[in-house]
Amino acid sequence: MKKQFIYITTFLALVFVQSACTDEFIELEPKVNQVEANFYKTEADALLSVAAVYDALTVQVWLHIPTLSDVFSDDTYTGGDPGAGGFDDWQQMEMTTGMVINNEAAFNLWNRCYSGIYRANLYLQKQEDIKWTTDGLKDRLAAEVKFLRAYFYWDLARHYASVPIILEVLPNVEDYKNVSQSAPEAVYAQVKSDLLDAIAVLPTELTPADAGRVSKYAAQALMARVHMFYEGYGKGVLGLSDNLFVKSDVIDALDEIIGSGKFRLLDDYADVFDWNNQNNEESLFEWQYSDKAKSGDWDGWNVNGNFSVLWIGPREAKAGAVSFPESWSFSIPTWSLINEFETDDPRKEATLFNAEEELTAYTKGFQNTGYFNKKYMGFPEFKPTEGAGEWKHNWDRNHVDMRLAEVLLMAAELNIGKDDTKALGYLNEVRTRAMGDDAALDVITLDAVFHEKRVELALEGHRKWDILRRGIAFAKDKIAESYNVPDGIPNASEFTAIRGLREDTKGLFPIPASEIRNTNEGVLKQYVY
Amino acid sequence: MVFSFIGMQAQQHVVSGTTINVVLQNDVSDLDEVVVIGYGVQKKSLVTGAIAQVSGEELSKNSTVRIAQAIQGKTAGVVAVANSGQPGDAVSVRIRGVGTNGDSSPLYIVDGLPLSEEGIDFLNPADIASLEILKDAAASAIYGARGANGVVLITTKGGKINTPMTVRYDAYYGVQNPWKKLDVLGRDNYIMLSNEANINGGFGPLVDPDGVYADTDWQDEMFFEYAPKQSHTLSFDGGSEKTTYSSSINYYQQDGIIAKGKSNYEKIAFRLNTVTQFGLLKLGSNINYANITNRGIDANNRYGSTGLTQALNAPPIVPVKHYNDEGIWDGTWGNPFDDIGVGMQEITNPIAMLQYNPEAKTRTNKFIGNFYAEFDFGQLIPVLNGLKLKSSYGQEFSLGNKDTYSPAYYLDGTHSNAVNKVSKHMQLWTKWNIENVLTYTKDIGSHHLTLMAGTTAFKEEWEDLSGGKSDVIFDDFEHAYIKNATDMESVEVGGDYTEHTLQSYFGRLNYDYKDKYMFTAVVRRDGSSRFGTENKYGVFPAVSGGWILSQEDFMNGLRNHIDFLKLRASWGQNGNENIGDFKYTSLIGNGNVYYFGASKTQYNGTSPDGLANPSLKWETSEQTNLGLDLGVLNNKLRITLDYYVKSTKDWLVVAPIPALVGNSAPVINGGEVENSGIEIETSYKDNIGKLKLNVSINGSFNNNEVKDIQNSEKVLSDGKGGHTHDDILYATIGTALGVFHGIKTNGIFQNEAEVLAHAYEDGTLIQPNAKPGDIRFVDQDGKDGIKDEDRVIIGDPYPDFTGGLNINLDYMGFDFNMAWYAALGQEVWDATRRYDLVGTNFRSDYLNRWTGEGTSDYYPRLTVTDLNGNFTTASDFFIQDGSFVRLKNVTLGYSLPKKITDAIKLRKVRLYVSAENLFTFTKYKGMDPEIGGGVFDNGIDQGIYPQAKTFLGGISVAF
Repeated sequence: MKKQFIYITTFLALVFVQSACTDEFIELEPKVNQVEANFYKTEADALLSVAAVYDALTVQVWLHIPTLSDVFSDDTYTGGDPGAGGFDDWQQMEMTTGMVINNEAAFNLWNRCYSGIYRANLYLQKQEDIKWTTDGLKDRLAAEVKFLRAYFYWDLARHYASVPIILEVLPNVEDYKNVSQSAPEAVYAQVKSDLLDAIAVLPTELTPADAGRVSKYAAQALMARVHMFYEGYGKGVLGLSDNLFVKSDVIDALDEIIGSGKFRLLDDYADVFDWNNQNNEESLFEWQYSDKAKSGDWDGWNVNGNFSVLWIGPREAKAGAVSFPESWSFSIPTWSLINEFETDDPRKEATLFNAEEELTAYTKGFQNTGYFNKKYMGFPEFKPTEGAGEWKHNWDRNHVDMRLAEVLLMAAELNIGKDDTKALGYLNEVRTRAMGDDAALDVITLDAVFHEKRVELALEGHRKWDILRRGIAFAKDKIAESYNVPDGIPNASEFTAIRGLREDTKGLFPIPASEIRNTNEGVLKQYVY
Repeated sequence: MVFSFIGMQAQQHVVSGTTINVVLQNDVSDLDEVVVIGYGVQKKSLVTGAIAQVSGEELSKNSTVRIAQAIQGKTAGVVAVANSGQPGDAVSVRIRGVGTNGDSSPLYIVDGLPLSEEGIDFLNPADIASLEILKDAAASAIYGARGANGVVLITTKGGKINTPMTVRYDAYYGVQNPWKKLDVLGRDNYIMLSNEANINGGFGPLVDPDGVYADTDWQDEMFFEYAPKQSHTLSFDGGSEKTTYSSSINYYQQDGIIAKGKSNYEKIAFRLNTVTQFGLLKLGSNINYANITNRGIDANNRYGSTGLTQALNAPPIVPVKHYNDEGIWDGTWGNPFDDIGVGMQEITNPIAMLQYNPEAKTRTNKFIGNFYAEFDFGQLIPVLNGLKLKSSYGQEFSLGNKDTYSPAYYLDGTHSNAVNKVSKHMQLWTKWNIENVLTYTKDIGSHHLTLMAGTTAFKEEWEDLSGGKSDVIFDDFEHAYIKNATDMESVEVGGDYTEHTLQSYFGRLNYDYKDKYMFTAVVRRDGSSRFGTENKYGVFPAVSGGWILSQEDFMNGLRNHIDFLKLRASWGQNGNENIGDFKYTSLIGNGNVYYFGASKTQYNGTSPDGLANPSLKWETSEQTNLGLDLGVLNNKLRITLDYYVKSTKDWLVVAPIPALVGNSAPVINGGEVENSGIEIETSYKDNIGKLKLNVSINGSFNNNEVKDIQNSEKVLSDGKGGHTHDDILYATIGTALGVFHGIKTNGIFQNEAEVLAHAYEDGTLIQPNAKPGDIRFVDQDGKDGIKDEDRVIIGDPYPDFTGGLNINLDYMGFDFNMAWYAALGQEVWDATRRYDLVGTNFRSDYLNRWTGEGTSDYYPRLTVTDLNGNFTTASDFFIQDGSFVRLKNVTLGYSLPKKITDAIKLRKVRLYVSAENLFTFTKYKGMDPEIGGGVFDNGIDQGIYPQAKTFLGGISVAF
């Protein structure tokens, strides 16, 4: 009996051990991640948070704005699979029926912009919690983030015109459903305000370790882009009346970049896009892509190589025994672009890959012209290593977003009618670098700048915005011309049928239907669709 | 434990497992069977909730490795749908409809330890004594926060006291074949249709019609006919006065009917259950160990490189292999790009892909044990008679080990891998569960009272470790170890961890008066680590009552007609916390990689993974049940009827938020769905001379209706059909949760005049790109052509009715049984054809395509330039009737007569032959209409791995 009693006591004791479990038992903290509440403490935290904002600028969630812009413009066709192409979201951009309101590319672009804005806003709020020890770091990072936020709003402004402006992380998800849609003027004003804040603080000097970061000059170049688009498109097409930047300030800024001595046109045009010569002296701002992270993510958000390289090369291509890496033949150069190059312009060969001549076999995709984007397509010698990650997501190829040639051509255009000699000088600097001194022009005209810009910056994502600046009718004509294909090509039907710019949409994207659905009723409206 | 049931002599039994096996005398009404009710047992006649019971014997008739599949058709209100026919693949079980957009699988309790459907794969169906399904809230409320989707209680076999040891050997061997092969185009028709599609699209012919081509039947190449399946179980059980035991070892092996050697399942499982009386303590344990090895291919994935989707889409004119003039394989494979000049992305040579696709083998080792002690206070102090305390500790320890080897190969431009690679993924699951339950039983005159109170604490942890490395010095799976890989640059490593705890208190009162009036009340309070501090705890109550009318005097007049009549009513609430861990908080992710510096230094940029919702709480399900049990014709005919209304609120959803928020939506509580339905179970048992007959029929109708969705649009949608068929599963207020949503079609434009007539009042064409032969879509909103706004509900992946018919006959040693299952009124979205790729094969019914006026009003013309969107539009063209009736099992057995078994010194010998899935009646044109899945991937056929038709022969010997 006594023995029994001991057993029972032990047994009951065990029972009570468990019963004594407290609330702590169900209060668990995640052990494999930091939580938002206790992050943002050190400068290292700050640097990583800012890197995430850069990541949002460059992430290619099945879209890469430069590629998308080229497809939209008269420089490339959608292309794609043999037969019907297959990328409806892109094809809609070149159809007179226009994009549908739930076009996924339009959604992805919107999503990527606001993700960047969220990360920027969060950083600007959390920077106050950081224990700062390095002089000037706080101001500089804040300026970088403001530049990036300006870029996101600029992307929103030029694609959707009228969007909600969000400048802080709101306390509750529900609050976002009520943020009113701002008029285009306000969106551009927001871009301006962030850009001016950034320009005032950003450094003019970048160390090699800073490659990929934004400098004052990159911000100034962006200011010029925004200014020229606003003046041409904002005022001309949207009919906006507010003034944005002062033209002379913009010219001064461009002169400052050119006169800084930090940048030079490389001697040989082809070197600008040499894979072994990234972040070169001509670049003001390159989007950094690499194979280092060994990415692999078919959703796109975690692709840290240049995803677009996979999209734009020839399909199943072979040059003799050499197989080209897999590619999908999207964004095919148009005949209009091919013909824009003057005879003997070496830029043609540096820009366009002539598959018929250089390859022994390839699958002709939709809207094949036989030419591909040579600046960014993937050549066998640069194919990412297979093994870790998904090699197709690891192209070690920066995107050159801003380079001196663009700055010179913007400055040339802005100086027309103001200081034609200076304008002509800038233009000829770009032109003679490629074609030699004999090719220098004597007279500056807007069309001459446009021609030069088209061939110099071809397939770098600028053309769409340039033709839109000159009005919808101009853009429509240019795009229509690009569907005049040579007689006798076998796939002529792929360029006909309802292709062209849908005029009433003013070159804008629809505001994603899901955004209108998921905000409170009446808060968001389509601007043109 | 002493049972003293009315009308029965008291019996003493030793409890084994957490439940009790009571052998009742045949002459006693089996309404007095006992059912397991969770933390206890109850006499069946006194049960007030809706509890279905499936005997172990019934379950073991199926040669399936998944227990859940064996309950298909066995009881009303439980829909079990195999996710595919791949050996070992999971089964989607829904009890009384889908209550949530999240995880709607029931909770499984095996001998007291909570597990999931995937988690019970260690069990051998032959080891199960009984399986109870707690369907209504009153029954499942005792499992509180995890009972919302119903509870399945499984009790494994135990020994009996004072019984000599019985040794049994049970085995079967069978062969499996596909029950159906799809009729797809052969060479000549393929060339005709694909060239026609190309020419209609404005191109030249796809392939030279005069060329010489192969005529490959890819299904024949992929199917593994007469794939073997076998099971061997050796078991023994018995008991002395104080100790009982039951033990078994099982070997199970199954090859899949597709892809020989790449799709199979093998399991070795041990089990030992013992119970010992030690003084006043009763000590018991259940020990299980299983070793499972399986390999799989893509079971239902239209982008998959190893599934049937390849065989259905690959051009028949591509040869499997190339042979030289002497007929010897030259080492190269056929592929569309080289052989017919058409690259087809994912679709290529299916057999080569089976060869080259990364080969993976998963080995799982599971140890699952439960130990308990029960103390009977009554034996210590008589005044405490009826008071018992049971304390148990259960533990699971499982190790999953997946080895993968990716060979280097080159098939064509899109199918190649330059460097071979080995990778490993190890996962460790641990789980423990402590329970203390105090039970007090007291009879005061005709008042019978059972009080129960208990506590549990539960913790589960998961950890994984993965690694990979390229450039392996051996080129085969056998040597796929990281040590053999040489490329340091390619090293990949990963690891993760999560944990989950639950702490609960619960109590129950069972009361009856004279076995006539019953009342039960339950309450449970759960605290879960998955919720924020604001809502750590939830309380779940339930009440139920029953009235046995047939015991009333006023029924005396009907006594000759009605043997048993009981009315039941119940109401209760329970919860669902299956949302994953730490969803209430916001974790900092570091996947926002960017590079800075001339040498591109990697910065693992950080931002929160999603938005936090600290006020997250569980889903609550509230259910009312009315039931009736009737026995007539001397209880030979039994009828059970149940009507229920089950409403699930506060689903845990990731409600759509505007993307302008800039981060992923938090999990919120938002939405309500109501399931209501009727369940009927009838059975007839009789002995006609030497023939023993047992026929049962069950059926249920369930109506599922969404009452609320917590977003401004009141819509949830997701699910992918064919390429560009997005968001085809849809829910809004008034619809079922997850119905097919798409454009309605209205035949084919027969001529230009019909295209022009399909216009708005102002003359604008509704389908401006249409040509004769294209599909006419219905424009619902009368504007803007055919857009997503014109989508309507075009089908429902859930059956309106499910039912089973089971017939058992015994005659002079012969036994015959048959099990039918029917699922009626469901639709399947046929997404098997890759119409987005030029050159994919067609099912033969596409020969009926439109080729001119009057040729077809269903199949459109074929064109690769599909400007009308015949195939890219998510429309009811892809919806097919998925109703089916299946003869799941038919078995004929013969047990040797006693005089023969005595002569050969065996206790029992039974031989049987059996066929599974012998007949399936369906109008569905695809492989198999049985396609399980979650709310947003249900009923979509993407080249489903079909169920096998199996012929088995088996033997049972008892020594």
